[in-house]
Amino acid sequence: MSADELVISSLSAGYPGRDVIRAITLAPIRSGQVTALVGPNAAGKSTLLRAISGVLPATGDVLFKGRNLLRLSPRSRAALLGFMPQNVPQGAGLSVLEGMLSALHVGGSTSADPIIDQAVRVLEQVGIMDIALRPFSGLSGGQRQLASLAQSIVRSPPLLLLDEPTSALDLGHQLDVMNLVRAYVAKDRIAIVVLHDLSFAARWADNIVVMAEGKLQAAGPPESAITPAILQSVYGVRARVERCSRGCLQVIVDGRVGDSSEGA
Amino acid sequence: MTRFETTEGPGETTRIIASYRTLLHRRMVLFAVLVTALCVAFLFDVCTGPAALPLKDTVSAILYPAASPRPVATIIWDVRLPQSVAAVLVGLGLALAGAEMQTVLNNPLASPFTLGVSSAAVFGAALAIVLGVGFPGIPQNWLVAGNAFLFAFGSMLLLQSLVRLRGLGADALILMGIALFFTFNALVALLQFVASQEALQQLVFWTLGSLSRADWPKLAFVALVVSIVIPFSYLAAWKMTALRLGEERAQSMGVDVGRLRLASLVRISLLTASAMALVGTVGFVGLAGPHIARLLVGEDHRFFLPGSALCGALILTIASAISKLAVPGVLIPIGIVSAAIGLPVFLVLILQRGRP
Repeated sequence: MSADELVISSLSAGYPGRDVIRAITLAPIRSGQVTALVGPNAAGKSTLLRAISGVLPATGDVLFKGRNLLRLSPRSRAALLGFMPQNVPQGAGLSVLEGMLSALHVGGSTSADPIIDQAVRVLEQVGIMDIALRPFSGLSGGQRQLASLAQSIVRSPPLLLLDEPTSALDLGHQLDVMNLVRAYVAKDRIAIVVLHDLSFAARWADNIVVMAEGKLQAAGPPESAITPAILQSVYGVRARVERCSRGCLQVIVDGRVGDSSEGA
Repeated sequence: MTRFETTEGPGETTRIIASYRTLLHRRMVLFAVLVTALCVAFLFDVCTGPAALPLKDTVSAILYPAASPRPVATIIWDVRLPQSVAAVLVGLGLALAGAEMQTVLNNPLASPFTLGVSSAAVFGAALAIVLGVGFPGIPQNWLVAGNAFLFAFGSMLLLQSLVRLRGLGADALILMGIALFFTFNALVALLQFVASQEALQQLVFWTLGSLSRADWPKLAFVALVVSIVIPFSYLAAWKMTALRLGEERAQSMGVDVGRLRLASLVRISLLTASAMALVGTVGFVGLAGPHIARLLVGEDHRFFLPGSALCGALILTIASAISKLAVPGVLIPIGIVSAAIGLPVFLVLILQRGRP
């Protein structure tokens, strides 16, 4: 096992009186890779991400850079990972730039550049310089999501965990965000991204992890993890997995299992 | 190259940084204005009172008490200055506590009294006033204040132990606080039921809040508490700013949210308990101070926390002057005046918030 790999084994987590994910073990995730976490609602995708990030108490092992993330203090863990939660608070009177500055002050910065320069550089990278001085309370859902992504990458953590980072974005911005994530992991980093759109996940991820009912259902390259049989058992749908003219995997859903009508 | 990387140029970067620096400069100017306004209001408050003392004599008595006529020096140093200093310290302490409370509970309607602290303090004071019961070792003239402080502080410690034991979040903490509020209110009602006419009157007067209870030893105690708490509060400013981005976000940035909340509750309880021990119940300052500061300097807690403290001190100092001026010859309890001023301010803030 290389120190740059992320190894998740026997990871269980949940809420008082209710286990959501049980003994999840994944094949080592190599640096430079994007892993997409997919599955139906309440499959445990967000819980898995929250458990890895340390915001939810968990048992098991999450080994990265020679350390077990679950045993680290919040500050030491923050140096290794950036987590973008699904929900971004709507009412914060902070400006987007102030949010970035607080991330750098609290989590610590690895760069010698002045903190404000680092913050503005990332805002520029994410394309939200125009809203830098606007308060969160005045932003649209999509703008808040982009600001939240900027907060997650501003400290340049080697492990990036994104929970549905494109759910509030238009098609163009979805594309931009995933381009950014790919460029980010190219510098020997790892990203795990929760996504709902399977075609989108197949296009952008090196590996797909399919979850249902808190358990691992399939994992591997898109071709092996997204198959009609797996989609039928996990989502309860009849679907075709085909390649488009440019070779990308496309998932076409024909209907629910047991429903004889074609398409939607 | 992604579309993101081509949107802005170096000119835009420079412009944003310059705009942010202008914003910081504007906030510093606002602070200077607030400090000046507080100094003016403080002087006006000291000059206000039944004995019509000219400004010159008042300033002279403050600066050179030995050289001033004895009656003037006595009025200024034994009556007016303690009240005015109490207004500043209590306003500052309660508004700072309110600002921290609103952030750690993620609730703009929270105030230092949200978690039942005031009810606990009133119960402590009622025990001393009605039954003469106090903690051993506390001198007789500190009995009411001491009981109010210890019960208020004790109630917060009880809440904190429950939070630590059960790992409760902000919402559960508020519910526990409400339970404490009703419990102590019921106990106070029981004491009122058995109290003599005279004790009942004393208790009612205590709950209205009055700056005239302030004396130098008690002021020194409150000043000590405030000066110990402020540096710790300021040291937590960035973490509290991060908390405004959401609990999970702050946690993933490296903030130990549980520890931050507990430390903040200790600071809030110390500030609130000492303020209540000095003057009784003074409402609205802890709610209105942070809201006004939020409108003036935003939610970067490096500015929001001291801004709230300054706004609170200013509000209570103005309320103190009004309490002496409203009805000539009568000192209206500060709790009534601060509520009378705070309510319209609060309504205006709510209405402004509703605007697009």
